[in-house]
Amino acid sequence: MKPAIFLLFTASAVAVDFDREIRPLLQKHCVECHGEKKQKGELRLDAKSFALKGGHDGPAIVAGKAEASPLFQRLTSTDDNERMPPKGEPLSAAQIAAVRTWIDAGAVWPENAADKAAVVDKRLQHWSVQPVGTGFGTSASIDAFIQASLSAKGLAMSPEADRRTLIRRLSFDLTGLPPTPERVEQFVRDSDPGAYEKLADELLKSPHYGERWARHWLDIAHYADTHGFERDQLRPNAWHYRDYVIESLNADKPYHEFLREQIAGDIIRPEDEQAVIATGFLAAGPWDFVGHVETKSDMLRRAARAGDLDDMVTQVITATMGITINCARCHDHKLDPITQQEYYQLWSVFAGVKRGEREVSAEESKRLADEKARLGKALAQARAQIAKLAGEGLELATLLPKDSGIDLRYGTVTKDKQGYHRDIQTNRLQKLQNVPGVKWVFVPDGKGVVTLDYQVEVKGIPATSGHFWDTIANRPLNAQRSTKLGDTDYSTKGHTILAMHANSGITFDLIKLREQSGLEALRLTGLVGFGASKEAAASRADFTVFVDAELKFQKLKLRKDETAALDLAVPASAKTLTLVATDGGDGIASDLLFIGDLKLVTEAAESRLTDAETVELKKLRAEAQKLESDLKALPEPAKVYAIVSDPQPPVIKLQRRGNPEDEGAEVLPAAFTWAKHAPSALGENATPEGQRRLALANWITHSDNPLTARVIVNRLWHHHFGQGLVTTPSDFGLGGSLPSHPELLDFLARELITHGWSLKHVHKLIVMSKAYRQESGFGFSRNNAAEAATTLDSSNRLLWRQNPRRLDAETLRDTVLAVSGKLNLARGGPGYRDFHYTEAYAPIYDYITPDQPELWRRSIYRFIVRTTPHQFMSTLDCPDPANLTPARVNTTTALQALTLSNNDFMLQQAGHFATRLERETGSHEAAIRRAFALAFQRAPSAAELQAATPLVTEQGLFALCRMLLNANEFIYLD
Amino acid sequence: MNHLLNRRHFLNRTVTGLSSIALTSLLKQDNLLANDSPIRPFIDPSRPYAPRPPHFEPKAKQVLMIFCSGAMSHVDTWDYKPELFKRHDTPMPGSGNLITFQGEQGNLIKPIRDFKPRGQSGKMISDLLPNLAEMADDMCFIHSMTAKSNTHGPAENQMGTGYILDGFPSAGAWVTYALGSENQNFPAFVAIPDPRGVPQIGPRHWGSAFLPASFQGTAFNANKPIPNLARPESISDKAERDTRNFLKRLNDRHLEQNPGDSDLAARISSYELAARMQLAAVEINDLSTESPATRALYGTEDTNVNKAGFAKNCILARRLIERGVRFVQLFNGSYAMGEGVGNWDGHKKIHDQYAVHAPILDQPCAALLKDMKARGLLKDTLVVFVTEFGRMPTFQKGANGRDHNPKGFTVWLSGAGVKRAYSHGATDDFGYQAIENVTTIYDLHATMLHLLGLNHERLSFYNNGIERRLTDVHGHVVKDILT
Repeated sequence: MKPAIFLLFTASAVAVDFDREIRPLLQKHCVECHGEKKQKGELRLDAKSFALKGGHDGPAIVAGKAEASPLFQRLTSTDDNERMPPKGEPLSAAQIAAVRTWIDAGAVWPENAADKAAVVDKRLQHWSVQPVGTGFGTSASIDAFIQASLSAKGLAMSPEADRRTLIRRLSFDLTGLPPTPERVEQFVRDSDPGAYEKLADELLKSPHYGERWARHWLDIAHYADTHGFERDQLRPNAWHYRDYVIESLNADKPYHEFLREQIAGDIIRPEDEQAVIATGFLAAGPWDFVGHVETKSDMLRRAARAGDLDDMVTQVITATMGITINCARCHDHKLDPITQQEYYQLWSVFAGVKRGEREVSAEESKRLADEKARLGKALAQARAQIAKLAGEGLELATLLPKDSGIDLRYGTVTKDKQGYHRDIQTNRLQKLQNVPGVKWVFVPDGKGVVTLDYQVEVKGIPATSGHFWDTIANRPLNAQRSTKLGDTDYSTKGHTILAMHANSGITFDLIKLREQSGLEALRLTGLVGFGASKEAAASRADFTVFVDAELKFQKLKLRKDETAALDLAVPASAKTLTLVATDGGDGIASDLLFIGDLKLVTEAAESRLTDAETVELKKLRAEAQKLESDLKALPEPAKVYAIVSDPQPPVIKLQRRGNPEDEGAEVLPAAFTWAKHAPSALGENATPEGQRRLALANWITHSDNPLTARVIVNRLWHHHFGQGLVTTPSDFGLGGSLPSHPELLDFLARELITHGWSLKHVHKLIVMSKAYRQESGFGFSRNNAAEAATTLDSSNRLLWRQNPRRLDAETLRDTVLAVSGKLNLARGGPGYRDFHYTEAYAPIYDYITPDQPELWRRSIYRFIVRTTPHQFMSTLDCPDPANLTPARVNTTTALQALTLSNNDFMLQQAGHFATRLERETGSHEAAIRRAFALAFQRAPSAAELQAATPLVTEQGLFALCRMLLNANEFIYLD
Repeated sequence: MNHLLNRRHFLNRTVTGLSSIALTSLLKQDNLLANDSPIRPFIDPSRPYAPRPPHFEPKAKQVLMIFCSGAMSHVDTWDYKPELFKRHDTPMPGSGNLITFQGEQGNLIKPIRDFKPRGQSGKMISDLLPNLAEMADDMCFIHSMTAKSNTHGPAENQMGTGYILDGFPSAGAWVTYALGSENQNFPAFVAIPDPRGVPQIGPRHWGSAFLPASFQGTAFNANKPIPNLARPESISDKAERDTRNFLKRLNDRHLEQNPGDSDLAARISSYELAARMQLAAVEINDLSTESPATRALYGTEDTNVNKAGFAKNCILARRLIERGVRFVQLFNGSYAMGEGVGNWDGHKKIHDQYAVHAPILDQPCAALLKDMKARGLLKDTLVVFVTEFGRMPTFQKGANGRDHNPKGFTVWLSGAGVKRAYSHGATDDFGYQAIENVTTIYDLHATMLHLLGLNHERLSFYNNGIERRLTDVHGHVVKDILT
């Protein structure tokens, strides 16, 4: 066949008109798979530049050489699997001949308009990545833009709302709290035309402004105070970041600085505590303890890390630029021009970032640690001398720091609560640095060898699970439920407790203790028993004592109702004393051992003290007391849950289909090229970790970045109007909504940038606008256009009225407290915990509603638990902090009705509200008036007063208060 | 008012000013969209539980999902592997240095109970669950189920929500979002926690995540009523009526001043529903109306308090299904009591642990299935019996129990739309790994939705730039098991 075809082609070699013969042929047979929609083999044949560029395997057309052109080869292949087009009949001989002639003649492709248009990626023209508009004249204003688009539809704004409505709206919007009746009254009566502006300024200056708007930002950061996932442990130091957000907003920190600090504050100003704390933003989301730490599977560890990086990258890009980057984790973004490679380039920026506790100031931490060591040593010396002089014996427990414990894994002193730990190195002696008199701690498994430092093996520790639960401590442990053995409560004054949950071992340094005390031959005394609750599972435990390597005491299978008395000789030559608590071979549950009054007492008979010695003893005691209180007064170094950085991070590779087990090519740190305001490259793989983040922070906050300013002004707009100009506040991509007023959005973005990125400036512009101050009703009675408006613009995107809104969960709770008079306005610091916490493998959080001032704080200060949602809050649509929440969804359910009617918190506060009314007024009528003023910021109508009076007379003020807190008018903002 | 973010919502809010015909025609237009376009159901904010039509004719109208917490061992219950008896206490071929969740593996160990043929079909089921085994002819087994994680939390997340991560809506939330409910006096989605407590991921099993909170499950059981249901004892019946009347007056006046605002109207009607729910919820938990024979069938008077409590929960499940609740989740086992103590997590002493758990589950759960069948409830209800993953055919090194195994395990279905006495898929000779008709949790969820008349690829909710689905971008309906 081949020669014949060849002849045939040659025969038809006459000039070919591309537009008449070739273009239609390509369109008909090729473009379906090699065009705009699909690009098989990465080849497009729908436009000149693509066709000549070629595809995955290189050029498809070699001008002048049809035989050498893959396109021609594929058209003429005799292999059915190779020949194009793949479906239907092969091209006719005449068509093939025409292609050959065309290529041989130089593949001339006259470029037409369609060729030119096809090259332009329409996605690149998407509005949100175009530069923010400039040159707004002096006449530009929010109201001018709003009015223009309304008039285009024949609509107009609604009239300005009355003053009572305005002060309520403005107070809730800016501070999340209702105005006091007195402030309402003053505002309503204020004849100053500038009264409204005064009010706006006053509220923007209020410290409650930051508390309100921090909540919106923390929704985007999916901040919480626990890790989430299976073992949802506490993050006791996360709150520093929450306070940072509040204070930054109150100070009106320039928004671009606010972002830069949150992404790279530790690099920008490492010595500035607040800048370091700011990076809590990167760590705010969930973290999987099992996947990162506990699992034995490397595959799970890689999967957990992948999830971690995805969360971090998604949060940063979505919060700041409103781009849903995480779609590109498995494949190129389906809608936005963001490639999978670009997504992993962003991973590379964060490759060295892990979430974790860090010291706020390394210098200060070191100073405190040194001071602690110095005081600790002096105290130990004083105590030893006292012991020697007074012959009282040395309380071994007091060698350990007060109110802390020793972490058996690292030999470090910690106040943190511990939990079940099973993936640990056993039998390894951890040397203690700053606890004089104590040499080591360890977790014994009874199988491996424990070797003391002079090469002597300790033998005879019973076999254990090798797991442990808690620290060794000079106080009861977390899970300890009893401090009594026999009739003695060892937590009382004059007694000591050394708590040793199985499995644990501790070695005391007898040489040091003798040096300090001068004691020589000694006896060890004390009483060993259980501190677990009586109801805990039946369990046995063992207790063993070694003097040097010699087993001196052992009690096996100690029962919970038993104790074991220690009284054994410790010779003057002995160097170490080692105590070991083990699990009795039945697991560590409830094996909470402790030793009461563990002492080394001198063997020698007590001698009478001389007068000088008595004076000395008194002095020493005073000194010891002072040292103790100095130690106690020493603050813990401040820590924050933020990021721990690895200066030389691992190289990141693309993960095919988002699968960490299927890695592709290496990527370099970079942003994405869709936004063209600045080069997207952010470094090399040699670039230190922090510099990558700094580069990204600068790229995001670049004044020409088309998205950053638009996204934040839209977020502000969203919270002021209940709906953004772009209704998808975290999606400015092709899948998101188009702006209702693109120029207005740009005007606001430009205002932000030119006013030093001041958020308060934009707030002020918005709340001063007529658009903001409109009535929120449908205005049927007054405005004939309302029906037209609901038809033409039912979703009110043109803003012919303000949108009424329901108070969110936090605001509602705060408002209930404000109205009842119980709101505790204490600002900052650790969050209030309205739950019982039980230490367990997966910690247990049981919510409680004690009626206490600490729990009357604003909701922004709630200690937020991830895995156990707060029933009251989540019923009222408080979002799950597993999610980034740019806009809350509001629902109306019967469970809400039941919650607000019958929940303990609501009933308590209704009670306080009633008491307040009684205290503040003298008659039923006055009480009812005051109640309406507090709850609704208005006086009751005559009919309402008439209806409320019998209710109060018959059922009491409580009934009235309870129902006011359930009323629609209380919960909705007009 | 940014309520249920959906443009039709705004239309609906203004319905007093609009003809409802315009609304209908707009909705119709949406149905004309392409066949693979997302379907977001229209939610009337004043009646979020109103019944909504499925995408196509359904086989099932309601779902009862039974979840065994802690990972029930398939090789000791439903998945018969004669090879395990033959090779008892020998190494598993090819297992090499296999490391599972808790570490190294010992030898293959035969099932802890013998297997016998059951029912007319002769399906081999172990003696561990004798009463459930009797119901074999009504069950449709999937022996080739696989999970994506070998850790309880993520795997529970996957079975409950389709994703191993936190933060996704539960299957029940998706179903009620799509279909609403047949009972307007009750939440559309009820979760019944075990008397001992909740599973590891707790309320995430019935959470709504980014779906509107109306679709979260309401958790209560026979011992613990709906939270905040009852008015406080200190408030008399008369006081309650007076205050409610007063509230109604306040709200009605407010509505008059804000005409056309359906959010306000919705909130007024939510208080009316709450009042109806208070009555209905008391009635539903009043098991005194059950005959002594029924109570005995379930075992509500058993001396084992955990079994008696679970039995009451089983009756409650049936009563909820009878009253048209769309999605009922029944939990067996809790996490809080600890590994092997409160649930099916038999790592250490599986003989002893399962001797405790099996009797708690067996009689009450079998009675539930039997009772539902007798009352004709299986005609419209799909029963799905699941656990988060299976267990190893080997014992852990140095322990008398089995480690986690997500590579192959068993779930079964029963009732509306699924074959009876049928088995789909298989694990290898040891029950270690699914090898035939390998099935995923996505497939299970896709099949559940399919039976309810919902296209799992189209039922969606827009969240943060993505049209989210219960089945992510995966899942195939397991057609083989459908009637």
